[in-house]
Amino acid sequence: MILDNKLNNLLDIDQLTKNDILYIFEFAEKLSSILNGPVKKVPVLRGKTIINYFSEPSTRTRVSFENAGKILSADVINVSSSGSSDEKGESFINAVQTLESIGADILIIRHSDSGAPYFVSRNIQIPVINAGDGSHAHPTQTLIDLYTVYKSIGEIEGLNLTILGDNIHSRVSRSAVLGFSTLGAKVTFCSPTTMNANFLSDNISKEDIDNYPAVIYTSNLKDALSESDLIMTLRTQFERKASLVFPNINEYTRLFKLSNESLKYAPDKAKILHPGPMNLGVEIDGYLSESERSLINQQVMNSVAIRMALLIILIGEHTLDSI
Amino acid sequence: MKKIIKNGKVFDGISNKIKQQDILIIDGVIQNIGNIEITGVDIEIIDASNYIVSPGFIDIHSHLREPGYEYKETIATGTRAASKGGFTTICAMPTTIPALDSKDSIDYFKDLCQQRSIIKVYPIGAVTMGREGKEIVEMQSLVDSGVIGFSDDGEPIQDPNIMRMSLEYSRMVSRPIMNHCDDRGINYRAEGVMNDGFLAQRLGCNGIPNAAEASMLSRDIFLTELTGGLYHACHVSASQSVDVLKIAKERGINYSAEVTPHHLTITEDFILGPTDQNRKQISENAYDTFAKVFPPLRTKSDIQALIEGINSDLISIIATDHAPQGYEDKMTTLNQAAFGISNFETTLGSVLQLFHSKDIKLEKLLQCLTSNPAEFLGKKLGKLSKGYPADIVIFDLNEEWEVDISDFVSLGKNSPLQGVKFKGKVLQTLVDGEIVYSDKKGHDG
Repeated sequence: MILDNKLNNLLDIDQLTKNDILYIFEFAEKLSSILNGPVKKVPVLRGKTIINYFSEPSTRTRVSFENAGKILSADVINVSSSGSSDEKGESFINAVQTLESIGADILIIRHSDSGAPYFVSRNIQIPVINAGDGSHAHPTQTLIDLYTVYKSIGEIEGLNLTILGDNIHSRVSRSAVLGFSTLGAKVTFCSPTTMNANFLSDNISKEDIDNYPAVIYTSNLKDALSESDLIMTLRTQFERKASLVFPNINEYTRLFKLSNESLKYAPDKAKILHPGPMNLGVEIDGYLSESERSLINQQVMNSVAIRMALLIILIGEHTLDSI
Repeated sequence: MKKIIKNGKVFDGISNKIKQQDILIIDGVIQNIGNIEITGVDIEIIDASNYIVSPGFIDIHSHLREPGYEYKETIATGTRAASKGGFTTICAMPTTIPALDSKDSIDYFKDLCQQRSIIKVYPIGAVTMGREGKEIVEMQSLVDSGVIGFSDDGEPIQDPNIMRMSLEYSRMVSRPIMNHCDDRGINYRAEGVMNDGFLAQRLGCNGIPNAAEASMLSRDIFLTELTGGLYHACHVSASQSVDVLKIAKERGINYSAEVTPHHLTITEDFILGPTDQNRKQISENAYDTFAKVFPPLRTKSDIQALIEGINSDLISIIATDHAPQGYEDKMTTLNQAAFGISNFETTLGSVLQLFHSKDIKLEKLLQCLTSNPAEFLGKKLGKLSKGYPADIVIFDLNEEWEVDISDFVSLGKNSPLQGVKFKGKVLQTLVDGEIVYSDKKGHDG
């Protein structure tokens, strides 16, 4: 098994075919045995330097990449924009070019501007992984979500994924649509109309229908959940409150919160995903995240294996057969 | 000092028919036009056989950046870039430091132009002090100092009462208010970076909807009707705006409107990069800051509406909105990058695409670049006729060339058209009978 296209960076899921995604899963599966073994350290990336450049706060993504690199024996350096030369007014591009010159073999970039990893990637030689850019994409999160579903349910083809919440500001949902569709799932969005990226449904032009997966949009929670196999709740982004996307929390939770009560609309087999961090009691009730229907903890556990696989594919010497 | 331009295909800006004629220039002024027999020896002959001879282009909307932003452009480089593009007169927006909002700052700017410009430059005054949208400038003093109109440029006039008052006042000073229509309330509190729609959503970018332009233009048009003021719509980009202008014309409201070469010819797909514009798989070249311009590049249907707007005389002026930017202004993320396209040197090539594609007649395009903007300025310019200054451009309609931004004379190398192939090139530009630009390959003359 090999990748359909050589991967020089990972900017978004649209670079990957179905075969590529399954290849990454197989890689991650092999690496899981290391994670579950007694000594969580292998010399696969010894001598390589990974730099995490995060200009936005992040705990899980940054730590997960850091841990993935360390398990593979790479040297991992974390740079965040506070405490870096950003604060002295150094330009973003100078900062990343400096990191390349210092000897990074790969840059993991989180940035608040959509497209920032694209801009970086075309201006430096080393591979770039997009660890979340603005409202645009979060491809490693999507691979983790897909892998989690693949491991717990199996075949993704034909599954119904319902994405609940603020999809207009969500990089997770944008990458999820591309990834889940590539593997044959059907995606339904449910949110207030103000939080809907309306291109996803009725506003799409004829020309662009071929350019994007077919998705369904509704603002009726009951309709959205009635045939769900998977329910992904998105974080309600309070930092964007100024956009006035809903009148107040009470109305939002009454109409859109995933609770024991609203979950009755969904088939019993439906599983719950959340890319984190969660606003418990807003988009999802706390007890649901701990319930047997939740895949949320698996998502976090699988994140390291997927990120290890990507690091090896992009900068390692090993192939799937030699790992 | 005598010159004669022989055998050119002359567009004179009056008859609007192109015909072979000769133009006799004495002391910088057109002395005669027609079939002229040359007598005497002290006469310079420019052979324009097979070339178009037109009044020099007049740009009513550009940015020279001096004083204040000399790293982006200077009066010296900007006017040379303009002459290379065939322009003999340009109007400079007040987006300088200090803003052109007082007699002193305008006198200073005119002094600088006197020393450094190689073509004719007219200043545009700010509408409000510091372009802050709060307090109207001393409009009559500014007109007395030579401004040809008023604009807060990239700071659209948000306050309807300021717009109403300045329109009322414009009647007295007889110069127009030139507004850049963008309702900041609709445009995500001014955080939009590209056209709103599928592509913006796909890229996770804040969009600037057509409605942000068309709604403010509607407000302005009806305030113009209310006040009888003098109003000019800057760079219309949205199909809805053309509809608003149609209503204005039907109601007999007096306005003028301009459109840029880029809004007439290229779409938002240039945000995906100069070459690989694939909406399905976004390439590494996407989020191209050179395609970030305000108003944003729109869609094919908007382009179609703008072309119809020109053909039905709803829009009568092509203006460049030449907006040179420095390297660091564009060498960043799409969100952080400055708006603007360096336009002087590609304008003719861009708009001639519409001639070659038979969308707009050559005569119409030339009117929009010469006699119509001259009429807007109310100056004795933009025509080839006895007594007019010999401001002339000679160009080849069919010469093919490829845009290379490193060849730009402008300090602003920010053009999304890198590598684009054009048909039609400026060969020579004359201001008051003096050659201010000559294509390096040269020709007789």
